[in-house]
Amino acid sequence: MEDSTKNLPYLVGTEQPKVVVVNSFPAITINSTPVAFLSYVTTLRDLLTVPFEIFPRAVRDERYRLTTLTCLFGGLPCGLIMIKLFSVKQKQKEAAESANGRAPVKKQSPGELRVQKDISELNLAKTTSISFPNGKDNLLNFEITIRPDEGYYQGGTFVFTFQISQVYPHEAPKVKCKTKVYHPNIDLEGNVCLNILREDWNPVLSVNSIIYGLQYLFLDPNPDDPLNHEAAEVLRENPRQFENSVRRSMAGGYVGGSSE
Amino acid sequence: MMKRKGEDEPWALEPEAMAETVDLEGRWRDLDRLLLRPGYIVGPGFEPGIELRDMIKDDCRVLVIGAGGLGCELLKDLALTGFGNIEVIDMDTIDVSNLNRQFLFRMRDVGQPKAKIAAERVMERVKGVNVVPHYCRIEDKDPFFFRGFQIIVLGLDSLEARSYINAVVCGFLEYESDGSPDLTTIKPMVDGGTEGFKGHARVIIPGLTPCFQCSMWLFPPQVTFPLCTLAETPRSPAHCIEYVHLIQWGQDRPGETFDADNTEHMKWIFEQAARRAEQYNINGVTYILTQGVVKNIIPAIASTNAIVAATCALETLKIATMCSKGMDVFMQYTGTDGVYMRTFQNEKDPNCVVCSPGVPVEVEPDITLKQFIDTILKDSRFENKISMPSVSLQGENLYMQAPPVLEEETRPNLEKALRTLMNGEGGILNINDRKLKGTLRVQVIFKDVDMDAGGCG
Repeated sequence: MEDSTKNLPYLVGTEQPKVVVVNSFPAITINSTPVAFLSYVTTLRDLLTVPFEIFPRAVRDERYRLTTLTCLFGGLPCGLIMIKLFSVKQKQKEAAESANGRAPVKKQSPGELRVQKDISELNLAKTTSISFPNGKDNLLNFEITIRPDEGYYQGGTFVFTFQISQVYPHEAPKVKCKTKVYHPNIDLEGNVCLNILREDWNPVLSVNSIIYGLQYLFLDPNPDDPLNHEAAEVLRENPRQFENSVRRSMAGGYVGGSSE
Repeated sequence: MMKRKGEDEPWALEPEAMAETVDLEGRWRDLDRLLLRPGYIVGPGFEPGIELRDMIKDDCRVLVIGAGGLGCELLKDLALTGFGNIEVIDMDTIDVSNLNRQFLFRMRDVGQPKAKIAAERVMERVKGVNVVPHYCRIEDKDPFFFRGFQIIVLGLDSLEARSYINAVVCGFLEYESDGSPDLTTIKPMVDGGTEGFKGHARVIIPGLTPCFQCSMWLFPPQVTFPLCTLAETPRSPAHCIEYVHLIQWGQDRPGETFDADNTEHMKWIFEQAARRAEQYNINGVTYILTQGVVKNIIPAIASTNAIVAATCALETLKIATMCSKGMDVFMQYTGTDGVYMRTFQNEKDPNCVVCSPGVPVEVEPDITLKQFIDTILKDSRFENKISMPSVSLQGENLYMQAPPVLEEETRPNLEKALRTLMNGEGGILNINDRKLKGTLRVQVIFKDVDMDAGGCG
C-alpha cells in the first residue's frame, strides 16, 4: 500500500483545528474549512468517514483527517515511554503469591487513609471520649461521647455515632446522636443540625472540627436554626423553663410532644 | 424472535441483520489505516504491522467496569474496534428507565443483570468477540482479578467506585529505587464519565499520569441543604423532598431502612413531599424530581455517552497498540451550547496517598517499630516535619499517638519487630503527624532483602 501519510507535515503550517458551529451543527474546522461534524461521531469508523460523507466539499486530504483525530483526541505524548502491557514480572509475582496462598494486602480507600490521619491527631477535651466498636483497624465507624461540664446540659452523657465514607473528606461524615436529647438543634431521631456537617462542610475540616462543633452545640444551643421546633421556642421564650425541661429530660423524664 | 419485531421494540434492528453488516469485507479497513502505517504522531515503540490486529483480538484482555449508559457504548465500540477478549462487570439489573440509551437492552430484559445481557448482545452482533460478564460489585472481586487485564476501562457513575478501583490498580504499581515507576507493574486505566450534556475522558497511567486521587479535589462538593432549613423554612421543591427523605422517614417509619430502588419507598417520599410542599405553597414536586433529588440523578444524554465512550475506546486502542500518542491527559466535553472539547494536562500530586512512590528509608532487618520511629525522627529529610509520628500499614494501625484508647492498644507493637509487623517484607508505611499537612508515605527497605522482593536496588 502506498504510504501517503509519511511525508505530510501534519501540524506544521496548519492552523490548529477549531470546534465551531456551522449551519447549526457543531463542526471542526481547519483553516476555516469544516472537515468534520461532531454530532455523529460515535465510533472510530465514523470518525474516519464522517468528514467525507457528510461534508463532500471538505478538502480530501489525509492530512486533515488525521489532524482532526489529533485535535479531538489529543496529540501529545503520555510520557515518552511505551507501557509494557504484557508483563512477565507481574505474572511471576501473581503465580508466586497464589502459590503462597497469601492474598495481596487489601487496598485502603482514600477515605480510610485520611481518617487515619484525623484520628491520629485527635485532640480531645477532657469532657469528650472516643470508642471504636469495630476495633482499632476500623476507623470509619466510631462513637464520640460528650459529657458537658457547664451549661444547660452539664452532667449529661451524649453519644454520637460517626460514619465516614470511602471518599471522605470529599463528603462530610454522617453524624447521629444516639442519646435522646431535648435540644433545639437535635431532633428525636438523632439528626443533628450543625452547619459543618452539611452545607458548610469543607475538606480542610476534620473529625476534630466536628467534635468541637458538637461540644459547642451543648454550650450554646441555637434556637434560631431549630430541628426540634418546640425546644427552640421554649428556649427563646422562657430560658428558665427550658433549663428545667432539659434537666427533666436528662433525668429520664418525658418532655413535650415530638418534633412533628 | 420474529414476533418481537415491531411489537415492543419497533425501533430495533434484527440482530441477524446487524451480524451481516459487521462481517463485511473491509471491516478492518479503518483499523488497518492506523495499525499498518508508520507516521509522525504514532506512540513510542510503535511498529506497524498486521500482528497488532491479532494482538488486540487474541492477547489483549480488556475489562469494562459498568454496563450502563457508558458501558453499553464502550462494549460496542471496543468490540467493533477489534478487541476480542472483553470482560464486563456490573452489579445492577436492567430497569425500564435504562432502555432509552442503554441500547443493548430490550423490554424483555428488564430485571436481568446488565452485565449478562450486554455481553450476550455484543457477542450476538459482533462476530468473533468473546465477552465474559460478571454480575457483582467490584469490591467482591479479588485484586488478582483486576491484574489479569491489560487495560481497564471505567464507565462508572460514582466517585466511590472510581476511587476504589483507582486504589486497587495503583496498588499494583511498584517503583524503582530511583523513584521512577517500574514499567512492568503499570496497569493503564481509561476513565469516562458523563453528567447530562457534560462529559470527560481521561487516561490514568499509574506512576506516569495523575491518578484519580491526585485530582479528586477538583470535583465540586455535593449540594446539601442545612437540615434546619429543611425542617423550618423550606423554599424549594427539593427542600420538601429532602425533608421527607432525611427527617420524616425516620420519624414515620422508624426502624425501616430507606431503599431508593424500592418503588413503594420512593412513592411514599413523593407523596409526603407533595403534601409538605402544599403546606408551604411550593409548586413543582414531581415523582421524577423526587427520584432526581433522592438519588442525585442528572438526566443522562445518549450522545454524551457516545462521544465519551468513543474517546475512551480510541484511547484504549492507542494504549494497546501505540498507533498514536495517548491523550494528554484529561478531555472535557460540554455539549450544552454547541460543542466544546478541550484536552488539558493536570498534574500528579507528588505526595498522593495512592500513587506516589514514598520516601525510601533503608533499615536493618531486625529493628523494632520503636527503633524505626526513632530512625525517621533522626532522618534529616524529615527534620522539622515530624515530631510525634503515628504509623500505619495500609488499614492496620501499627502505632497511633492519639487518641489515648488507641495509643494504649497499639503501644505493645512498639517493641515488636517491624519486619514481623510488615508480614516479612518491605513496603509502604503511612506516617501521620500533626506537623504534616498530609500523610507521608515511607517506603521501607530492609537491608538484607533481595532486590526483587523489596523493590530496592
